[in-house]
Amino acid sequence: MQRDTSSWLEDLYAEGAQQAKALDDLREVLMRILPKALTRWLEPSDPHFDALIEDIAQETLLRVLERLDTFKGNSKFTTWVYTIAVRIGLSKLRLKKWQEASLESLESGTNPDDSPMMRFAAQSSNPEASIEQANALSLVMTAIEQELTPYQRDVLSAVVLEGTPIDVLAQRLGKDRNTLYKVIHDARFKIKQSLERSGHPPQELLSLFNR
Amino acid sequence: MLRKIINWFSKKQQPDPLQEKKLVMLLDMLVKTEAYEISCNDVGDALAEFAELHQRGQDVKHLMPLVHQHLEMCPNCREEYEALMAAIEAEAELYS
Repeated sequence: MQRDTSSWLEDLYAEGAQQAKALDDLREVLMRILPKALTRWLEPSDPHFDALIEDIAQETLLRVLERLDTFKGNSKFTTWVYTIAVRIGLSKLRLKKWQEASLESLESGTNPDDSPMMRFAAQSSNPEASIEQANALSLVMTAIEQELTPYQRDVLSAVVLEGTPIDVLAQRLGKDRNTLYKVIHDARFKIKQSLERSGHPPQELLSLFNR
Repeated sequence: MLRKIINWFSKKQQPDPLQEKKLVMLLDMLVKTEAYEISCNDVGDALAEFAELHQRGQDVKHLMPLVHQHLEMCPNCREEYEALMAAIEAEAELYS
């Protein structure tokens, strides 16, 4: 079953039984690799484990066939396939997690946010902020208020401050993930430029917290 | 969330450590922000090459700086990169 990149391509570009056999083999590879690749995000004990892995593998095969002509040969073919598979898989898992969290939040009235960023923040908080630090953060807030559009503020807040995954927010807003990344990038760059213009570059402000 | 942070500043309340921490994280992102950054799709297209170079011990930060910078700024792409590295390791174990 082991093929090199050129064999995979030759067989997948072929038609009929040759292509079907290659797809079967690629599916088998994915069914073995995906549980290990996604183990941090999907426990084997999850009741939907088998169905999810099967679903991700199937969707990956379709995407691979659609995009076969975009493979440039800069990596092994299977590495390229895994790149597609993990993006499909993690997008599904993030969406599932946030749908479940939103449901729990509705039922319990608590905030659904349990992102690593939030946990990190909660664990390492410093109870006493110096006047200098408070002033530095006030400068950041002023730049956010003055430089960003309401839409930029909302997207930045949801993704950077609340930890909402960008693909989850993109789906909620009916937008493309790239578009939202651009919105956040523009927002960050505007804040950075504003701070630099006012004589307080971010590096200098950040150094107040790293002493 | 942003409104709560703005209120915290405008009312001069006792500093809220959690909200302060989030702003410091934003500050750290601002330091790393560049005028030009590539998109998540651009990273997706280059990620396989980046991962294989990293696996071979190459200096990916200098060989592919735009991908490296994006991975620092985008938690989604970073997770996908980590899963991809796990897939590459699993392949090496299963098929070596």
